[in-house]
Amino acid sequence: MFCYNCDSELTSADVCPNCGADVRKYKKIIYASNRLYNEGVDFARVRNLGSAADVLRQSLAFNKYNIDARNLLGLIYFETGEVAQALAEWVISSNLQDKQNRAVSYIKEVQSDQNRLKAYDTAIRKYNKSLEYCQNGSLDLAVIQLKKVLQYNAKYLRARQLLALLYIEAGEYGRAEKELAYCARQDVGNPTTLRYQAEIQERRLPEEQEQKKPEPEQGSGVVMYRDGNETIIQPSNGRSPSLEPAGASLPMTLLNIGIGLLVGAAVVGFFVLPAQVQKVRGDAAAQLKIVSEQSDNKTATISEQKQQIDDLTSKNEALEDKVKTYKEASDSLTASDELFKAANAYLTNASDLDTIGQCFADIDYDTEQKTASEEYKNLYGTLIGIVRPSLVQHYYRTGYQAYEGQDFDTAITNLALAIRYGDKENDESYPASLYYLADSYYLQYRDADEADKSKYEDNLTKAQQYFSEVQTDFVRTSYASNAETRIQEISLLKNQSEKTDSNSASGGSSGTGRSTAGGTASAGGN
Amino acid sequence: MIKFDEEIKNYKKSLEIGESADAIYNQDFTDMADVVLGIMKDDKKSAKRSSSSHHA
Repeated sequence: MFCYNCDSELTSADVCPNCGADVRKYKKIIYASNRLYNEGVDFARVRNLGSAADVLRQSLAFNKYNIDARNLLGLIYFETGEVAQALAEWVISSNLQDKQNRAVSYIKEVQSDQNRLKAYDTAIRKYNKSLEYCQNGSLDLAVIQLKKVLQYNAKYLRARQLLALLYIEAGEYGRAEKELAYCARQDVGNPTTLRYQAEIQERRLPEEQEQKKPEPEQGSGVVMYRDGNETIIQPSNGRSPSLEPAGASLPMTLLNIGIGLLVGAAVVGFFVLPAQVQKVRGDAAAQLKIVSEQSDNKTATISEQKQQIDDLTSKNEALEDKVKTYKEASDSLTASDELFKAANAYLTNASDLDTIGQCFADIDYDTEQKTASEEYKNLYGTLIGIVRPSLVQHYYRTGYQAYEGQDFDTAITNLALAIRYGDKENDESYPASLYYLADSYYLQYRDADEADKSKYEDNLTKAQQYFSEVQTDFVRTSYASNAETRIQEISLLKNQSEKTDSNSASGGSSGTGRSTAGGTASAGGN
Repeated sequence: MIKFDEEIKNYKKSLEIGESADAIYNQDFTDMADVVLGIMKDDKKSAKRSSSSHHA
């Protein structure tokens, strides 16, 4: 204890050892405060929080600097849900003594959990709101609010007491008792709690007296009694009541059956049907979910298959490209085979020009040239360079002999090959080959029977083309002059042929009106 | 018998956490010690005055 005047520590003497101030009354006041604090502690230990709070407030009224009393008062406020008041006491306490003060740690602990602090604040706000509802007569809303309040802060004593009061007012004594029992455990000896409990007892008393001597209605076959707020109806014994028991009247029995049916219908209506509806809805929702999941799965499968198709298409395209490449390579290999055959024929027997020529004839060099490798081209060039003069001579001779023998098909084939392998500039036989090729075409047409001429109708054009080439490329040669003559003959033949065609066409298309003249010309021609 | 309308008047609104500061500032911090010491001081002053007037 310290002196109020100089703040020196006091002794058992009645005056301050430092300043000499009279401290007798001051000491009595401090002792009174401490004694009240001790009483508060005792009350708090037995959870008589209301009494503890009262004496602690008195203690602080004697000595506002009684830190322990203030801290304990804050704790009691906190324990009964009055969080704001608790914080206020602790804040004052920590301001009066900032060191070695539990209030500081209490504040820190409360403020450390902001969610819980928010819940406490919400509980207080809702309690105030429910109080407004009570004052406005909206007791149902107040009950709902108070239930929420207790969810946020179950220790809120005043809210629970108010809820109990509302239950009492509504005649729901069972519920009120339940809440009050909680309040009694929380704050032992709380006058409000005790008063409400007594009130319930008082209100129940007449009913309890009636319940002490229950008189089951023998005639009805059922026993009715009250358990708390609930009215229980049950058969008087385990057996089914007969419709006409001794002393029972039929209308009473029917009335009871009717009540039973009504109760049954109410149970079905209030409990069974909603449950069934809920179940059906739940099933429908579950099925919808399943269908939705299946749909999603199918969509996913379709997407996967689409992706697979795309992949397979691209793979197919790649494979087709490969096949094409292989095919080209295969064709190239086939052409190479023909070239190898020709080379082999030449190496085996260089004088076997028929075989060598046949091998070369099988090579489609113009086509192969586009895709052939450089080695292929070189081999072909080298080989043809070696065998070409012999081949040209061979084909020319064979063709010319056939021409002489009027075997124009063979002549045309061989002379065409002689020209194919021949060299226009250097080969002496080239103009002859070209001329006799043209003449073979011409003579094949000219000497053919009238019936076969149509078979060789292109011959004149080809012959004319080759003769023109001879005339142009080999001027001043006998072949050129002969070619000129042949060209004139071809022109005449063509003219004759056209005239014949036009005559036959005009005769055929003159119609019935000129049939006599057409018939005469045709006969004359024939 | 409790009368609900009367009983409900006993319930006062709780102090919200945001109002704690107001509660602190509005609190009357005068305690019994302040009162008694004030009385004692007044007694001393009046004693001094009476003695000085007596001497005068």
